[in-house]
Amino acid sequence: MRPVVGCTIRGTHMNKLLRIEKLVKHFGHGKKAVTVLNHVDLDIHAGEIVGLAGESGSGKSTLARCIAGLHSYDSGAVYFQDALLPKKFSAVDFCQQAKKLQMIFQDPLSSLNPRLTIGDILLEPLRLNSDLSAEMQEQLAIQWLQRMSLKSSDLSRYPHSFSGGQLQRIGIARALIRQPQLLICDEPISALDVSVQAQIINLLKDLRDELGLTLLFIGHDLAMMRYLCDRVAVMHQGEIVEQGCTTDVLEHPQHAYTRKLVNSSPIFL
Amino acid sequence: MSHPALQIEALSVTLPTARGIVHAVRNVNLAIAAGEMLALVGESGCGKSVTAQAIMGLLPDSARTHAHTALFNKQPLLTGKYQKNIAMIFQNPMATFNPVLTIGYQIAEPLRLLHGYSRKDAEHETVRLLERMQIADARQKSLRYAHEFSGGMLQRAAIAMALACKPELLIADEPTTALDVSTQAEVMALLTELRVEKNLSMLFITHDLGLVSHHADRIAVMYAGEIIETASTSSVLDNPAHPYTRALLAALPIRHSNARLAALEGSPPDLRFPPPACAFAERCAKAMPICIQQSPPVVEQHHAARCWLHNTGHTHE
Repeated sequence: MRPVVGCTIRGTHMNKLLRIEKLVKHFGHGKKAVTVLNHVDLDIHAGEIVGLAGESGSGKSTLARCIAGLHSYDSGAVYFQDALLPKKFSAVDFCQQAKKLQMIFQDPLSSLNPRLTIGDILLEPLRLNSDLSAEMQEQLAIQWLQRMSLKSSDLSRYPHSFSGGQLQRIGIARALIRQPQLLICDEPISALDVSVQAQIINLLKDLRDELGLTLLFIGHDLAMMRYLCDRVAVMHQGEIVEQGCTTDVLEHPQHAYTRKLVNSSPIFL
Repeated sequence: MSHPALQIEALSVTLPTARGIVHAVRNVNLAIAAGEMLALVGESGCGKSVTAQAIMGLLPDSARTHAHTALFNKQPLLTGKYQKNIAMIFQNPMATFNPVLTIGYQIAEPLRLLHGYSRKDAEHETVRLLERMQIADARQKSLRYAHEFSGGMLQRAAIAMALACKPELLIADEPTTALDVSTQAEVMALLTELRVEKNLSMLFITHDLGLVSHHADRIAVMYAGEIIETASTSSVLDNPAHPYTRALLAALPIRHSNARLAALEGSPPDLRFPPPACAFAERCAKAMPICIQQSPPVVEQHHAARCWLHNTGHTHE
């Protein structure tokens, strides 16, 4: 495998925000157990955008969900700011970790509760854990909506009345309202139109620069990853087969699987 | 183009909904020659799938379809009857197949019903078709059910099912959107092979300009129910004439460039109340007073664009 060096990292140098060591995850028990993550090592530095590429079933989403505590893992270790995350999250762990790490998902409509207004959706994370007054909370929600190019009157509308791109922006606002350090984006643009994809990608890039966010971006559009990510890791059958600087990996892929992936990308690569 | 196999002029479709009548397709002209692949490109809700469903006769009874001309190989379309020589593949292969019938049974069905094959002959032909789709161990696989197939394999089986109809026109409605990049490349290669082999005409619906750049002969760009630009693939990609097409291309990341992606602001018009003039004027950076007053003329040329900027009929800069 390519050594993970020689890559200029944005923001704070070599400040590891997330460290994943020999992570193993099985689904099922005994003879039927399937190894979904097989000794995965991955570092994410503060302020960078790391892309995670690979086909469906390669374990990208499972890895993301293990980091976020949505799945327990079997062995290995995940360190967030040098603190070891438990293998299985308790309710308290969730509350604490949710301040630091948030996620956005592929299908923006199904990731928002259809029976809550946008206001409720945005305020819920604040209500659960914030010392701000109710008024301040609402101010904050409105600020975020405006940052997402939505109107403050949208607070009282329901998810079904928005377009896909708008919903994804609401999802981003919900994730960022608590000011996490790491945002995991699980294929956030796969369900969107090309013109809207560009909006979301621009937005993510801007937010990274404004807030000093760190992003783990999962996707399979290599052209978009080349544009967005500082580093990429390629996953295949539960293993990271190659990782490094985006241009290195995509211009000079070393692993046969990466080459196959690069060759099957349609255009502009 | 010598003589188009599919010829559609002034196709309009309206769909009644609870909240008003939607003018989903407005005055669309399409022509596809035998063996040609036309890519119909546009955002969700622009009417590309409704156009395909109108050609196929798959629209609900409540839909009103009207066309000046609608012919395929000189046979009239939009008659409300099943089109024997047109087949279609869909976006989600999992939903294409009936989950309680074997894949083989479903591929054999059109062979037996449309083409009068005996059960045994249909079985043979099914296996042959699956083999042609590069599905290993085809005989065994034909006895399997949809949930036992992977997405890419299932989409190839869906193509086999479409080919069992022995079509002359294949409509592919975003057939690779639900697939991985590597599987997508395989399916595209297969479709291109089949097109050459069987001289199939293809209407390929997608929102991915990158995907069609290698495969389509011509591209038609659709916006708000209208076709706003039609030309050969290279002409559309190298010299996009309509501001909307330019915006679509600018939204794609370009190799060796870190320039900011040009996102298209705003959203398409509500097709319950289609704008009387140019539908794109509201979002267009180059809009002129005339754009919101009068509908731009359609100049039928090698590179046709429905835009006032090209009123002279000369589209290349």
